[in-house]
Amino acid sequence: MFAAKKGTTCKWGRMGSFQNQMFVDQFSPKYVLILSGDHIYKMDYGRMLRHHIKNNAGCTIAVLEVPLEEAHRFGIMNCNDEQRIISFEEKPKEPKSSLASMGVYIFNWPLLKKYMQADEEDPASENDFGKNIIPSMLINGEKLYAYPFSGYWKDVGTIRSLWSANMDLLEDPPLLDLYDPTWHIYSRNPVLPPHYIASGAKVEQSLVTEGCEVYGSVYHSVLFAGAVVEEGAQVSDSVIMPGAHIQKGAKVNKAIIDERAIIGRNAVVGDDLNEGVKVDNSLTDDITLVGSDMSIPEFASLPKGMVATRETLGYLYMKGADVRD
Amino acid sequence: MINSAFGIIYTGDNSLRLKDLTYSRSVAAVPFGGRYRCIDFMMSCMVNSGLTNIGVITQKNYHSLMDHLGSGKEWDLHRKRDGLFMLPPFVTRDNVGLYRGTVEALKSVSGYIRRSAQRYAILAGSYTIFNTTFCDMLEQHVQTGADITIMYNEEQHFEPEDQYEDLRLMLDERGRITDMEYNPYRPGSPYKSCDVILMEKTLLEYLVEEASAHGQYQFSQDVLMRNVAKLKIYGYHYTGYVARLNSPNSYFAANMALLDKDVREELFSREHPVYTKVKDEVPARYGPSSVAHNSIVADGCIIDGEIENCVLFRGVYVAQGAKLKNCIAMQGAQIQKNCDLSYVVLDKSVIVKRGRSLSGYKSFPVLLKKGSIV
Repeated sequence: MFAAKKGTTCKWGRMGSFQNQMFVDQFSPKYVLILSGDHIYKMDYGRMLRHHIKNNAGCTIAVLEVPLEEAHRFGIMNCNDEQRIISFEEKPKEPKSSLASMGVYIFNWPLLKKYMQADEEDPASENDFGKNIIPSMLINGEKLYAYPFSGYWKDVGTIRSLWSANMDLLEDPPLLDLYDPTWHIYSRNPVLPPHYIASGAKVEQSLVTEGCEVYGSVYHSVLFAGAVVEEGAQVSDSVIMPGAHIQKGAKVNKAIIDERAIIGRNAVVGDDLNEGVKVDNSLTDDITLVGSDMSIPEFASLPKGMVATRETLGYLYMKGADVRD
Repeated sequence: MINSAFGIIYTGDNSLRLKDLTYSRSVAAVPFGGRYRCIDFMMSCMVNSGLTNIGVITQKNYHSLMDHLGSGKEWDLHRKRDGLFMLPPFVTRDNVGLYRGTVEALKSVSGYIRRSAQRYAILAGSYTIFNTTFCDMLEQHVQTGADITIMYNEEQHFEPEDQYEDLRLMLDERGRITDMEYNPYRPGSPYKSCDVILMEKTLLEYLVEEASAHGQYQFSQDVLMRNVAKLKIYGYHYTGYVARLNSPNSYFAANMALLDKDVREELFSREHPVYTKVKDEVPARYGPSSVAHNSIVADGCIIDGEIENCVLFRGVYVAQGAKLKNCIAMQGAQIQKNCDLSYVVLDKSVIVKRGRSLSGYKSFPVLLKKGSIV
């Protein structure tokens, strides 16, 4: 089995496609499994492959039942009783079914190669799986099957979904079981000592990992390796990425603090919006985002939904808004 | 960085000084500090010094040690040239695999020593814990023109109960060792060997041959002490933090010392990371009603109860209503609902069932053997 990264909406481009085909051909595989790197779920691809072989399919797409009102955000399959796909619509306005593609595909490699090559020669094509390859396979009557999956699945391609996927782990029991000894989630392991919780600290309903030091309060949050929460600092409903540092008295509420960012003393991240300050929160909703390696000054106030990067923070300074009291 | 030295770590002392903690493992493999084994510190010191050739002499109960060290990958020692060498007893007619002392062990690994291409040898034990590099020590060794250099630290406090392989050094004003005492009843010097000895490889080979030809087998008494006048033996004063795990009390105290910020920062300094076998564990999870104060917690723990002044290793479960105070819980220990524990050391996979209470004392922590169920 061979795996490569490709999203439903990913365009591979002519050269990339050629290189990938060469790469895959080195293994002369019968089947190719195509996955996305930004989805959180646990799935046994072996079972899906058996399903694919049993159906004698050319392509099998893993599908998940989603609420009908959310179906417009996904690639939606319409299937017959044998789970054979009859039609496929990418982000339909009026979905006919609630079976959404998870972005997990198994193809017979020779078949996929043939369609990819044909697709490249079509100048009108966007070279996209969901928009071009799958529809043209359907038109030509190839055997496409759906493989129903049930269980936790989340696309973390947006700020909101990344935040909420982290929060899902804090549910009791967690929505995604990370504790199954037969199903380890492997990762890089930082070389850091176990974390330390100080005498005056409070940690509730949170995940804390190696290298963290907590002297303040942490509620309903996820702390990554080496995060530091100093005395009197308060972190709630937030995701604190590796090496981020929350200094004394700072408050972080409903935020994602990216790697190595420093939140200065008594600063407030996720503050109430003051009148007259406009924040572009089209990507973030009410989640405040602090970019990696940012240093938020002491006593600064970052309003809800703000994306704090070098540019936006500079803008607020220039405006004389209450970045600094 | 030293690339002209190789390291030999002696883990053979199948000491029962640590009682049940070393019932099924060597001291080197005793869990320490939430996610480490004792030997990790010595291994990391050597690797951080730039050594790329490390031999680990094992004798008894080295199963868990081998499992832990593996190929040496975590210490960057899985190499084509040199790397990590596990040196278990090579049982022959002459060697029944039981070493009476370090000299016998070194004699039996003489092949490894001969084939090591480095000029200097660093001999080390496995029950001392510190974090440093040996670069300054080697520099001093060369500068003083010493034959042998022994690392030591100053310890005013003396606890007869904890005495084990206690080598005391008497030094002249230039740092040369004039006399030594082994396990003295009344120590005549506060300078204690840290069990790290540096010398030229050829001298080591000569001394080992010489001692074993005379039927001697103990390194401290037979090699070092006998030659104190003949050889230039110098001390290297290490001023950092040193812990020695030679009794259940000192084991308990050394773990608890990690709750002190200064000790933690020194042992886990960012410049000299301590490497260990990694486990891909889940982050520790704190429940909605958990209370945690002044504790070290490793990944994989689930804490729904209360902990204070504790060191928890990977995957420890503290159920709701359970209270742990001044406790050390090793990997996979399970403390069920409404337990009340104080001054208890729980070895791996110990289960304390619902509502049980156990209490030791600072000078006498209760030791629960691996796998026991209370």
